[in-house]
Amino acid sequence: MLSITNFIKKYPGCASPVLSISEFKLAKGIYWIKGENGSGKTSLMKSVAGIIPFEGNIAVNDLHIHKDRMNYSRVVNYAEAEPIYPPFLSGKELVDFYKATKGGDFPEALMNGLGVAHFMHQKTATYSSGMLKKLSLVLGFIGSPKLILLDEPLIALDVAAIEVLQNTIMDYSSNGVSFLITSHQSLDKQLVTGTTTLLIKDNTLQKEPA
Amino acid sequence: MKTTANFLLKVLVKQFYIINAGFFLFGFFFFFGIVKGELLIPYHKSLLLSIISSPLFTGIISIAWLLYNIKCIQFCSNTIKAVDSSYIFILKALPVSKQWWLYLLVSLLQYLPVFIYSCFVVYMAFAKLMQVTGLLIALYQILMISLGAVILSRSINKNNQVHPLDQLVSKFTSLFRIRIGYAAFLLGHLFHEKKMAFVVVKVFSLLLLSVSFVRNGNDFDNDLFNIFFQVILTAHALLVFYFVHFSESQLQFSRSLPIPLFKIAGTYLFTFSILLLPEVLFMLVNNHGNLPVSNILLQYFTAVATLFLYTGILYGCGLDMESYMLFVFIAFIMLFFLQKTNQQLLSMLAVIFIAAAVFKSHYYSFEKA
Repeated sequence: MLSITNFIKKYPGCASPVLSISEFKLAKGIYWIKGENGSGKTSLMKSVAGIIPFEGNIAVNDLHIHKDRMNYSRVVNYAEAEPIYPPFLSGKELVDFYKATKGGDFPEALMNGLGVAHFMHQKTATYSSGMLKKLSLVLGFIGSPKLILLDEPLIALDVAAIEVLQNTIMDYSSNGVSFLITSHQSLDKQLVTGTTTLLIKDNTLQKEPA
Repeated sequence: MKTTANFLLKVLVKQFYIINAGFFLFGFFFFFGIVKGELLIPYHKSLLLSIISSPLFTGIISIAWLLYNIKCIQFCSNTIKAVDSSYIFILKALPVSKQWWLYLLVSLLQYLPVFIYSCFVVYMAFAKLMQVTGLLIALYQILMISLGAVILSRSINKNNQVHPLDQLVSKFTSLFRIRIGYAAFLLGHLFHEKKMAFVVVKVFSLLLLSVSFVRNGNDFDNDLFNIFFQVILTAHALLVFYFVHFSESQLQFSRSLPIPLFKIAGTYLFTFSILLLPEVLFMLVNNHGNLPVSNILLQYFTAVATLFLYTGILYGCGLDMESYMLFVFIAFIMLFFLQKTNQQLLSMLAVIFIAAAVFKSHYYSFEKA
């Protein structure tokens, strides 16, 4: 499903790479990425999402990010850890924008479960961090993704919202959607089953030793 | 008090000069670099004389000083409003009188380049026995510095109040409930968050155009117009910076969406086409046969392409303001000489081609410096 080859992520002004992955392949599934602060979890997520540049190649279902960016972006969705949106836009305008670009399905159940419908007509400038997080999660499920990247999805969410999110992850997973999730909080193992833990350590991605 | 002053000067004065280094470099060149060494003093003497003897010139210079002051005020206001600047509000703990001296110092130091030049203007006025003019100009400078201090004080001490301009725009947009689509995101940002910069740039542009098309309308100087037009585009470089900064911060999420590169480029081009409409309309309305209409339209399209070139440059230099202003300055010189070839169509095509190539090669490799 996900293939990472000769991946190097450096930041301007830094001589050594923050992350270096020579070869890594992941089959369909739910992956929980662990790592210390600053280990490069968000850099990896943003690279896979196509938000920041990197050396090497990333492909999802044989769609290569550099060669076929449009089709790649249609199957990879991303919900940021700390979402930032233009404050003059409403949640509804952002949802419409995502629907227009991504096409495919709309996660109505998730939107209702998280209560986004109640505030989506307000401008995002008026949102609390929890409301922004909920909106970003809804946006992260729009379209027909094959891989959804959730960066710290549990922060700023209330208990009820966390349960709704975990149920949604399982629903999508049963329909063949894979997940890469970074979280300092552990997922509820009764709600989210069959997760594989990955570890970012020593500037590279590795499978956690059993 | 000394520690607080040092802290405030570092955040509001030093940063102001660092961020605007390109602007000051350009200003220095404009005032001291385009005239030969031996003609420099006579040139400035005649400039000072014109300022004090022609009411129109005094008016234009006063507006330019006001615009510069607005630029200083806007920098302070944006710094204070920034999410990561909440530490500035610790100044509220100081006694009001001490705060005042600090704000006056900040305002004076930001306004210093204009203040120094205005001292020469005042000196010239008194030397030519025009005491009233000299006194009025001196009072105007004090007013400018005090205005900066007052607004800085209000921004820090009454930061939870909504700006009247914001209130007005909010009421206006709520009347019409304009739905904003992707093509209008950049304009939305401009009219919601960078209104003051937009107004300052437009007033400055239209003032320069009015000199060429209205004041010198009967004696139209094509070379002077070309210089003015390049200066206008250079002033717009600030707005281009805001657009790209916005795209790569609040709109960064859109990089993960399947939006073709031509559509992203198209959004910039659409925004610049709308942005430069006041200038092209002003030129068409006030033309009176000075320039063929086709030339004005070619000038407009070249201007749109030039702003797009600035966009590509910004992506190339990782939003680094100093490198950006250097490249804008180089573009200014090159475009000026390109205009002098009188091959407007070729110039326009060349700028469009270069701009598209620069944008295409840097958009996906962009990373903030």
